[in-house]
Amino acid sequence: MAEPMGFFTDTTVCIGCKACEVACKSWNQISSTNGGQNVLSGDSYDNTRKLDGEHWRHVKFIEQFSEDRVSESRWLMMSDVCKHCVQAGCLEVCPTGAIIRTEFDTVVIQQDACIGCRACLPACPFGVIDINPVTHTAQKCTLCYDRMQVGMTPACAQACPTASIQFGPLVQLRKKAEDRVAQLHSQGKEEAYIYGDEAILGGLNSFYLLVDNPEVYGLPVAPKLPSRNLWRSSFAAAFGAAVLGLWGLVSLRTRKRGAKAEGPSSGDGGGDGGKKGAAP
Amino acid sequence: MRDVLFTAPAHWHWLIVVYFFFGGLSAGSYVLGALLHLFGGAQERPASRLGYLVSLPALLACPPLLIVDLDRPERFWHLFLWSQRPGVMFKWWSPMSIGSWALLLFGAFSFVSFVGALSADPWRPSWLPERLAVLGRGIWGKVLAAGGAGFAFFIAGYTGVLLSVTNRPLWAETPLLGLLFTASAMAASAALVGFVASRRGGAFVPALPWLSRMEHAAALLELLVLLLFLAWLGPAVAAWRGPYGVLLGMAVLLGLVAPLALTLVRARGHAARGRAARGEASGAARGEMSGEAPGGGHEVTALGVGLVLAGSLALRAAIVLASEALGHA
Repeated sequence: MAEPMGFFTDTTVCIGCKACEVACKSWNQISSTNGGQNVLSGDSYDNTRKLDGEHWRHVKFIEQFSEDRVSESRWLMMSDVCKHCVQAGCLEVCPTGAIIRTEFDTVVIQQDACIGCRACLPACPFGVIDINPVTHTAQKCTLCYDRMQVGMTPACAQACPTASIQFGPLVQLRKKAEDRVAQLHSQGKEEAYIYGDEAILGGLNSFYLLVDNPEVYGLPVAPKLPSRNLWRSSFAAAFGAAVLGLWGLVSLRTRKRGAKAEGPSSGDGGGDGGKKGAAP
Repeated sequence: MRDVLFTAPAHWHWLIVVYFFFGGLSAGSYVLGALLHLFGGAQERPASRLGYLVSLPALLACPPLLIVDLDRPERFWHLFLWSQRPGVMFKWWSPMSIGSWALLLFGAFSFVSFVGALSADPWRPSWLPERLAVLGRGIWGKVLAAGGAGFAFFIAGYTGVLLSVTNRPLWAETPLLGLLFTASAMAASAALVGFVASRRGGAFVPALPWLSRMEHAAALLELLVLLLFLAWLGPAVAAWRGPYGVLLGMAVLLGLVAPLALTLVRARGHAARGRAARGEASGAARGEMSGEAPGGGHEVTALGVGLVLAGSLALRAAIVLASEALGHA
């Protein structure tokens, strides 16, 4: 197996140019018409709005302005992408084996195998995956699997003009990220931290340097695997089946015995009347 | 903000809701048939066969609904076979994978039981050989019933587990959905089988009191689980403020409160009539002749079954659609 590869996205140097979005769409030949809807958001420079089947990179614009727009005013920009989780929820629930882990430890949806059942959409803790309206299959970032196989850098990282998106072997990226956080801390930016270390889903192979709470960036604080619910939910269902099955068994048995022992003149209300009537 | 609100909806809408509904009916009817078959007396065998007769038609609605809901319906076989190499596709930890297989296998049980039941039924079509009734008889019939009931319970409950094994609001925030759907499926099926038995009368009548009690037991369990479910969710219940709350209200009123009230009223009326009729001549032994209801007040009317089925559908719609409407679109 090749070395685990990934993205380190340093949001502090993102300038919101969206070159990554364009490069991604261009290389991966994703429709630029947004499923026929060319809609402007009207309240933001962000007209992409979310990651989905035809947006595999999404530059988020977070505006933090106070009432007077002077005392507090900053833009947070973040180029969002599939996190290529080490423990991937989408891969777990995919019923066809269409979602695979590659030799680069990335997560890829094989387009010739996907049936569009959409099980992976709600399984992703980050809401990354959606159906591509052109191919009618689930799509998301592949970390440019085709480019990686021939030793090229993914399109977005290549196009990024500020090195906000960095690509490379995960070991090197983790080291770089650590150094960058230390550098920012030494400059007095104590709020800088890494989102996506081993504590989150075994590690996100695409991880971020953030300067505010995850929720501010639209990221869950403690993302979890869907399978955490598998056993407790199954046991609850099995419990219900056992209760109803046993109740059925016992009520049938006792009633039969009761009917035999008590004779034809009594029983539970009119029920016995009916039974007498139909007995051969 | 709850972590589940950063996730994307599955676009599972009415096709899936209707599948959950029919899947539950098919599974519940089979379980009722199997329980009557395995633990009931000889006088309940006709009603037991009725359970199997209801199960298969309800099940037949399911595969088309599921396949049409796929974005690439022509690839549905990827659920069972690897698409890129020979081999069987099965992931026990993926609810949709194990559910697909369970649906296929339950279909086999349901089909064989259906054929066995139809061959022994007065409605047997002339082209169906009567000797096929052996499929439902003897030890083979009991083994079939037991195995089929196991798969049926799985089908009734796995849909709720499938919703929970996600990261979506409401669904992933409780482990109770499988249990809730199981109880609801049993209640709705008992009402449906009871309705058909009431309509056909005669030999199908003896099982009516038990079916009625089964329906009430399942409805009671469903109500308890629903209350626990809402308590479990806490403030997240706000998701039902709006049209989906109306659906949830309908599920409770139509599916649980109204049928119970209807039964109470009828039981009272029946008891009063019973008191009046007591002491009269032996004509009462044959219910239909005395004008007395043959099922002893346990018949299910069209209104009764309609309410319960509408409630069962509304419950599934309320849970599926309310979550679908949340998070980033």
